[in-house]
Amino acid sequence: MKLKSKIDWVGYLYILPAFIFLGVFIFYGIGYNFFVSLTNWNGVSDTKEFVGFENYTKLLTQDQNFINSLINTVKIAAMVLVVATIVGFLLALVFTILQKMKGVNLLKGLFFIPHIMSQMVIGLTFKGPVFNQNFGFLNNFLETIGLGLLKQNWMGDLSIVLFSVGGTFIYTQIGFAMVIYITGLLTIPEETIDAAKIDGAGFWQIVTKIILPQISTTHTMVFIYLMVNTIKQFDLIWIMTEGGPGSATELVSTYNYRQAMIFYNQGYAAAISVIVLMLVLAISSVVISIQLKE
Amino acid sequence: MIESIVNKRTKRILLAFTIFLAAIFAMPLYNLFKRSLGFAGFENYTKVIQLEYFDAFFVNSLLIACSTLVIRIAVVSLAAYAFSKMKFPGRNQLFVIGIIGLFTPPFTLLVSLFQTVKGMNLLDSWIGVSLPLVSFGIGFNLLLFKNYFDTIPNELFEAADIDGASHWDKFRNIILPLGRPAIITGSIFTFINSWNEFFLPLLLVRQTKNFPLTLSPYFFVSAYTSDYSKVYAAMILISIPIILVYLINQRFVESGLTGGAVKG
Repeated sequence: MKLKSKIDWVGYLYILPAFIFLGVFIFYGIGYNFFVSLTNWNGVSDTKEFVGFENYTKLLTQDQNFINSLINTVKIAAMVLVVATIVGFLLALVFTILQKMKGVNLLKGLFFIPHIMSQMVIGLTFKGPVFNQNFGFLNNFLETIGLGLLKQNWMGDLSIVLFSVGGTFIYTQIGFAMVIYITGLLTIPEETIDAAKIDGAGFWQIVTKIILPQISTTHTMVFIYLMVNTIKQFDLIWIMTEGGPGSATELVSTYNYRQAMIFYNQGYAAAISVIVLMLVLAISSVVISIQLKE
Repeated sequence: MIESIVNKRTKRILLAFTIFLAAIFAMPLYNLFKRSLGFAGFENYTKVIQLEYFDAFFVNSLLIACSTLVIRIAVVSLAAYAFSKMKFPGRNQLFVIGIIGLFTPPFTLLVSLFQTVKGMNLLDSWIGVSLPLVSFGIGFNLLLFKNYFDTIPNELFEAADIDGASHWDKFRNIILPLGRPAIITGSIFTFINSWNEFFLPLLLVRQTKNFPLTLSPYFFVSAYTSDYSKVYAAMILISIPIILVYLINQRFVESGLTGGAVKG
């Protein structure tokens, strides 16, 4: 067919509106950010003084708060990756096994709802009704089942609060991991599992020897999405603690916002953004290369 | 089939255990609801709805969500059609550039976003929130739409070519009707995410009357100081539209979560 080799110049016209939006708000933004990161601009004044890479050297060598926010982000990422992946996979396995039963979809929905609800609502729910030291559900529950010793000041104790917000974040990500795993599990061919059963493989053997290796792409996807979701995380933390008390729950995102909008060090904030953006682009280029291979 | 790897009795045990877990999962939201009834019961809800700014917050949220949805789905459908069914130099490279925004955290662009929206004179308005919001969702939806449009058979387009159809004809008569599952999924995601958007309004909106619902706690808390049950009632009201949209479209939401790109 000669028709197929013709060049559709009009294609550029069809992609133009999308690229105008990307250009104005994202590509221009990335360039502008880099430019501002080389200045000591406060975000308001008319003058920007060029300082070269001073912001970067200060960030990476002297700023304990930045290092602390990176460490906190990594800690939350580790919590989410371990817990949400394992619980999400097990739930997905159970729901795939039970898929033909009535009402199971609604049950599954219950695990996913925290992911689609506003993080502002989830954040306020945990801050007060769940974690409040005096009237919160968690401490009341521990008291009721005789574990009053374990009661904590969930939002105020410096050594615990990162786990409290991390737990809240995990609550929103379990359903997400679960749904991706379900999609992956449904792609496993029937014959593979039937063959294993005929060979006399037991439940755990099928899970560990057949199912887990078969969905290797899904593992990668869940891992990368959860990591990027963690780096993006801002809303929950800002609602629950604003990075406090002290800097106990300060993440890279909240620190970036604080430098820009509260301390008015926008040149410095832009340098933080550039570093994070490079990190995220490195991760997402891995994802894109995986997805293009499909 | 995976479902056959355990027997009936084990299935019943699994079901019971899952119901128990689901109950634990529901506890935080149940407690939110219980707190929202504190002091005055359901009167808290009527009080919140009658509050002078509640209508404004609701309308602002609706305007942000609907305008983002319409613009984003329009520009993404057009671009995804070109990337999926047209041949032009640099197509693959441009596609990669197009989905690069997929993982860009909005906070990393806050310095420039504020200046850009300010330069457009759109600070403190719903449209000033929707326009950047459109951009941040293009990557994900482009991936979702293109993956789906790729499954529409090329023969349909070749047959239309023989009838002398233009690209616009093919877009209207083939892509829009046959690409509907992707378009519906993308619309639901866009609605949910824009309704829930917190960061952009926090950055770009200052006056109370321009707040969307997600910023409303900042107003409610200062307006009620100690009466948190009304704040919690507002939280429940904010969540209802989202939960309804999800439950009605559960299948679409769950299948589209990764841009339709998970295969094994």
